[in-house]
Amino acid sequence: MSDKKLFAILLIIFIFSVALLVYAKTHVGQNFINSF
Amino acid sequence: MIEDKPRSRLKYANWLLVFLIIAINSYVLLSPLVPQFELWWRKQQTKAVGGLPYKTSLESGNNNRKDIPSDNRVVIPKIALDEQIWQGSSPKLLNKGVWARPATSTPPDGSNTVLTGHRFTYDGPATFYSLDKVVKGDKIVLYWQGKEYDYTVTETKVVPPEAIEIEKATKDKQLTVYTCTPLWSAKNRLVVVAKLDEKRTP
Repeated sequence: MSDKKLFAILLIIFIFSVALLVYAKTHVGQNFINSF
Repeated sequence: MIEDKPRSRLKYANWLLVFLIIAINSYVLLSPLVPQFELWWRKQQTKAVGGLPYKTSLESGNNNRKDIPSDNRVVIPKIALDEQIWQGSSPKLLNKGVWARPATSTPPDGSNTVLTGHRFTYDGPATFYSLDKVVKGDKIVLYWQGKEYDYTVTETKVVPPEAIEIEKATKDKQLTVYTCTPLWSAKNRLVVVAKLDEKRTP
């Protein structure tokens, strides 16, 4: 596999990883007190 | 030689991306396991010091204890939890640990003292991560303004977020501790209700 192709694949995985991190930071267990 | 520079840069970038992907995903996947390790570690420490400060006044046979903490604390021996209680109106106090709900009672006033805390977040402490291990009959101790209050768990339940009656005033002197459940979401509330043990409380 060429370095360019590998870079493209890794970049996509990296973007998904960052999205997962942002989701985890903002959604997991948050805002549970707001209903009161 | 001229073409080698961009290629080596790309290789460097690939290795950097691999490192970042591993780091981010390790953080996301392993962070939820940290509170499990912390519980194990707290239990080991508790054993190492002979169970203190988890013995109540009556259990230790000393009603005039001088080791009662000066700050307000909640102690749940079953899950080796010993946390300061924060008072105030801001929900941001949840990020410090246990928050005493402002519109509810306090132990000296009787009625319903309500404490809450995060189960698990990536941004704050996982204060009540192991609250689901607390069952009927377990003990909860509150240290409040230099006095000890012993409670016995009478009920554990899961309620929807709209069940605001769990914070309502009660005739009995009771403690309500709640957090979110199931572990990874804020879908419901895990509620632990404990009644003041008048015989055990000095």
